[in-house]
This record gives sequence, structure tokens and C-alpha cells, in this order.
Amino acid sequence: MSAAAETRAPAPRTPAPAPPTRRPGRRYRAGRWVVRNWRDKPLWMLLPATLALLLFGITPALLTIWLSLLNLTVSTLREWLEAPFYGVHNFIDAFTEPSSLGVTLGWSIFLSLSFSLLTTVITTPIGIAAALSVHNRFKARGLVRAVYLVPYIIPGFVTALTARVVFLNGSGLVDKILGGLGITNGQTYWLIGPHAYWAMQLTELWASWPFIYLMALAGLQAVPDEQLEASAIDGAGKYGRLRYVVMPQLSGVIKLGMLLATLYHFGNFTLAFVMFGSPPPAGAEVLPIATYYNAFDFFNFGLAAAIAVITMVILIIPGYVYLRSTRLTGRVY
Amino acid sequence: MRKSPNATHRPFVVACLATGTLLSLSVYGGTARAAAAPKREASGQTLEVLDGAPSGANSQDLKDYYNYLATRFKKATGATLTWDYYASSSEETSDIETATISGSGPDVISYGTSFVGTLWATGDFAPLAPGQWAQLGGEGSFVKSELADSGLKPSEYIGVPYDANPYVLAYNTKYFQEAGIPSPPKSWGQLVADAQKIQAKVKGVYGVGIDPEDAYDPWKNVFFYDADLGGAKPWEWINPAGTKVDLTTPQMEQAVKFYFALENQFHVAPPQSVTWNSSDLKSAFTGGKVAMVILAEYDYEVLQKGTPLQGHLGFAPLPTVPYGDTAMPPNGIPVSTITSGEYWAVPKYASKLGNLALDFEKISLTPQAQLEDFKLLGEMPVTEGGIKAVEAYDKNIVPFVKSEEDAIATSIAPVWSYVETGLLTALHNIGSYLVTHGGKWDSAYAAAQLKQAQGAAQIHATGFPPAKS
Repeated sequence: MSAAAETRAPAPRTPAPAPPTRRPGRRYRAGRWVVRNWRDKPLWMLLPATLALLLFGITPALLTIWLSLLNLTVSTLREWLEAPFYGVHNFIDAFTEPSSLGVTLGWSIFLSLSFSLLTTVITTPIGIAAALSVHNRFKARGLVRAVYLVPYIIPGFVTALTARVVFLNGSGLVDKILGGLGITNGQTYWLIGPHAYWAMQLTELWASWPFIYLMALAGLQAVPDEQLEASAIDGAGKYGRLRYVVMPQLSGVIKLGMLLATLYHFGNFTLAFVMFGSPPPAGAEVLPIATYYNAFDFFNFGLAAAIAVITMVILIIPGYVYLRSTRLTGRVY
Repeated sequence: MRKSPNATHRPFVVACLATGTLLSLSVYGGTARAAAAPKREASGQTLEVLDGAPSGANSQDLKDYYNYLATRFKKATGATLTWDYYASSSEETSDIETATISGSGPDVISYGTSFVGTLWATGDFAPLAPGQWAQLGGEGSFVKSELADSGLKPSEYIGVPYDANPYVLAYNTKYFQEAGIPSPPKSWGQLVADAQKIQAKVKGVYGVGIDPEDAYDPWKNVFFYDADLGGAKPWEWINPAGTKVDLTTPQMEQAVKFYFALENQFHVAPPQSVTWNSSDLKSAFTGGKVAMVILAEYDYEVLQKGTPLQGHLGFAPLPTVPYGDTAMPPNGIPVSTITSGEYWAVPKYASKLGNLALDFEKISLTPQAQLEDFKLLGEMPVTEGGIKAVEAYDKNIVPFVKSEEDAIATSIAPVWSYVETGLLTALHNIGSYLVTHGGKWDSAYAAAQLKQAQGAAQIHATGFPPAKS
């Protein structure tokens, strides 16, 4: 030990920060504090929401998990409470057994993930750019805003049916354009084979970018004009205002939009089911399609429930990441 | 490995039930068809029937047919008939599943032939007793082939056929005349030759249309041609016990090859038809873009109205002699159609209504009702009396009646849905392979696809579940 250290005066002891209690001077205990504070609040008002959550959220989820553990087929459906317990075999079968759909579950998971993430990644900048383009006042702004929403308000099955016509080989609009520009020979089979994935992806991009646009537009309305004016007075140019004033304030709503959009794309059953033949080509065998065929075509409800549980687990991950990033899970009021 | 039932899961289930979601779902211990139920006064009672929703081109005709049955039913029984609809096969499945689990729902369900195995396996539908068949005119009064999709065996028949959709060849008589072809083809080789002639003579028209992306037609095409070639009988793609699947015979591969050869080898089908479903094909045929449709139903009589096809529609039995042959091969079977049509089935829980469901079925089978079904919807009759009534009204149905009488039923084993979907997947993949490989047939690829379909289905070929009380 050095001499300097020996002669150093002890540091004055600073008291530990007080626990966040509303009754100073009393010892803090988290559990009691919560109970005591909750006692003062009208908790019964949470009852309807709690019941609704139990009925429409937790119970179906638990039930699905339970069904995934049963050997539940068409012949055991009637007495489903007595269906043989099957353990995790449905999960093992889902990943290991060859499927009559011609693809593995791993492929469907990969397809759903790439389809949903790619769509979100591409539509986000498009949606933000569209929102910025109609944020400031100009003539016919209302009309442009309305036109932007057209792809979004068309029902999903109509979009899929239209896409089926647009992507017909030879006579479809896409082949006409690509063939006319000399990019392809104008005879690409989009609805079958390896191009089916890209036909589905392009359709989803077209139909879904207005969602991010709507979210971004709503976020833009909340940016105070005073801040923009102040930053302009401080010498910030258009880019500076966008980069340092607007975007930070849009970040929350954009993240939420991206999460919701990804969840929606992941669960989009209608597009693949309506746009292609039945069953769809391998490039369009997304997870909801696998669930549907197992439940409603093969009547293997146990296996379908197992796939639904796997889907649920996959979807919980981005949800949790979002909640953590926005710190919704850690807040105490 | 499958485990035996485990009773420890009950508390968990009870907990789930306690939440309330499933309180309304109680398994109903049904009985056999209404025979055991006490007969009650029908007046004031209501019979709920589940059938397809009126939509599309013949929506009003379907409504008229439903109203016709409801009116006749009211008059005969004093009870009220209400219709419940499904808009798609998935909604039909969902409705039936709900009814099966909850023990409540429609009192009579309309189903199509491919659904009988599923309904039978649920054990929730009441078989008809011999006395009940007698009330419907006796089993002998039906076209025999139609009863093949009523159930596993006569003592367990759960479905009462009420109309049929036999397949025939539909052709555009105008194009045949322009090409100088006097009559429709009787062999597949002749069909190809006729198609080529039409294409040469009539500009912008293809000889025949195919729809490989449809949910049903592709495997049916293969079914017919496989039978014609004399391979393993297609109705034995699954053995009678429902435990073995066989999709890999040389004739099977040849049948698949011929189906796609119409487009990629003979070039008598439009290139874009590789992506068509049945709606696309109907549109092309009624629009005058193709001259022949292989699997046609009588509904083209309705669809042709106001289209370029109007006044030029002809029907003929399907060709049966394989391409390249002049006569049927030694083991070949001239299959004209598969058993195809609609049936009534009564859930066991509906026994509370006494004989009301049977009364309804009886009304739908009268010659007048059968004729009404034909006049409004173009559906073929299923009883001898109905056929006489319809033949007196329209002589054009003779090819259909002949086709219906010779119909062959597909397997009703529970594994059928896996075979059907697996085969469709294989056909879709082979079609995709062909268009991305310049139309060049690859026998090894096709065989691998069929083998994959067979293997995936074989896992689920566990036979028939025991009959339930």
C-alpha cells in the first residue's frame, strides 16, 4: 500500500439513495409497497380488460398449446377431450416427416421470415418518403394522400386475384412491360416455379407500403412546428431538420409500424392461398399455408396446432424486442 | 411413437374450460339416425340445412332451387326449412368441425364426394337403416355408382346422393365444323389430331385447354388416363384397407406425361394454361379461346349464355383409347368419369328432430325436384325416376347419364386427402419443372416427385378407424 493511500482521508460516507417510497422514513419493501399503493387504486376497473385478455388472448393460446400435445385427427375430433396424449411428437413430426405439400417446415419458416422481413425493410423507406412528400401543404395534397391509400384499402383477396391476372405469363401486365422493355422475353412463369416467391413478394410490397406511410404521416403531425421553426432559425437546412428534428421524433411510431407490419406479413394467408394454385408452389408455402392444410385438408389438428405454436413463438420474439426497446416492459407508474 | 391416453391432462383442460371459452362446447352423445327418436308433431319445428352459398353467375338459380325445396318441405311436413350457407370448402370444413365438436349446428349437411371419408371418420354422422332407405325409394332406385360415395359399406352409408356431376368432353361445334371434323374424338390420339387440325384452320384458337393449377382437375385427368392405360387401377392408389399407397407405376408416370404433353409436346394447349385453374379454363372455353375441355360438367350450358360459345356447345363421352393405340390395352379400363356429386348427411345430434331430415331428403329425390335441380342448376339426377324426368325434358343429357352410370369412385380411406394433395403438389412441381426446362420431359424428376407424394401419404395410411356408436 502506498504512503499516499495510507494518509488519504476517508471519503465522507454518502447515504444510499432513498427507495421510491411515498412514505419517507419507513423501510422500503417492494412487495408491500406495491400492495399498499394498489390498495388505493380502483383495481376493479381492470377486471373487464383482464377478463377479455383471459378469454380472447390467454385461453386460446393455452388451448392451442394443449392441442399441439394431442394426437388429434379427424377420428378423435369428436371426443377431443379423450384424444391420446402425444407429447412433443407433433413438433418432432413437423420438422422431420416428409409433407404432402412437398416442403419441410424449416423451409416454410425460412420463407415466412424472409417474406415478412424483406417486405418490411423495403416498404419502410417507401412509406416514410411518401409521408414526407405529402406532409407540407400543396395543391391537390388531399387527392395525392387518397391515391396513396388505394393499395391499402383494397381487400386482400381482391389484391391477390388481381395479382394473379397481372402476373400471367405472356398476357399479364408484368410480362408485357418487362418484355416490352427488353428486360425479359415476356414469357416468364410467375405463378409457378421459382419466380412465384418474387411475384408474391412484389404484390405484398405494392399492397402494404401505405401502412408505414400512414404511421409515418401520423407521426409527422405530432412534430411541433415550433421546433422546426427554431431549428430553421438556428440555421438547420431541410436535411438537418429532417435528420435531427423530425426523424428522432418519428422513430417510435416507425418502430411500432415496422413491428405491426412484420407480424401482418408473417401471418398473411390470403395472398398465397388466392394468388396461386392449390396447393401453392414451393416458393409460396408460407407457415399459415402449412397450418391451413394440416388442419383443414388433412384434418391433423394436433400437427396444425404444433405449427401454430411454433409460429406464435417466432412472432413473440420481435414483439418482445420491440417492448424492450421502447421500455414498455420496465415502466412503473 | 404414439403414447397411450394420459389422464393427467384433465385438470388442465378443466381449467381452460373454466375460463368460459368452451363452456358452450359440450360433446353431444348422439344416436343413430332418427329411427330411435320419438316422432313429434313437425309443425312449429325448424330444420336447418347447410349448403353452398348462392353466388356467382347462377346465384339466383340456386336461390330459386333452395326456395323450391323449402316450399315443398313446408307443404309436406308443416315444418320450416332454413338454409345455412358456406362460401368455400374451407368454411364448410370449419362449420362441420364446429358442429362435430359442439354437438350442435345444422341438422342436414350437403357434402361433395371427396368429403365422405372425412365425415365418416368423425363418427358423428348417422348411418341410414334399411327401413329408411326404403322410405327414400330403396337403394335400387338410385344410380348404383352414386352410392359408392355414401359411406364405407352399405350398412354404414351416411350420405344420400341428391345430384351428380359426371364428366364429359365439351367441344365447340363451330370450330369442329370449320376444321372439317365430323364428330368428337373417341381416342386420345384422335383428340390430339383434332386439336392440331383446329389450330391449323382457326386462327388464334388452341385445340384444348388444361388447368394444372386447379385444386382438383389435374389428379382427375391423371386418374382417367391411368385407368385407360391399364396400370394399377387408380381407385387402388390406396388399397382397400387404406394402409398402402401406390403412386409410382409406369402407367401413372405415363398418364402424368400425357397430361402435360398436351402443352409441351403436342402444343395443342396454350402455353399460359400451365398456370390456369378451372375458372381460367372455363373463361377461355366460353370465350372461344380453346376448342375442347376435357373435364366438363353440364354447367357449361348455363355458362355459355351470352358468350362466343353460345349455340356452339357440344358434349361427348371422354376418349378412352390411349394415345398411340388403336384399341384399349389388355388391362385398360374405359373410365368415363369418377363418381362426383352432392350428398345429404345428418349429424347424430339432429336425431332430436325425428324423421324430419329424412322427409327433407325424400322431397329432394322426387322426380320433380330432380328435374328442378337440372333445369335451374344443370345438375344431373341420381334416381331412375329423376333420370326419366330429365331425359324427357332434354335429350342432350344422354352422354352424361351414360357417363354417370359407368362412374368409378375414388377411395374413401382417411389417407385420401394426403394422396390428393401430394399428387397435386407433384403435378404442380412437374409442371413448373417443365416450363423452366424448355418443356423437356425428365422421367427421373417425375418419378421422384410421385415417389415423394407416395412416401408422404404412406406415413398416414393407418387404415380405417373403428366404427363409432
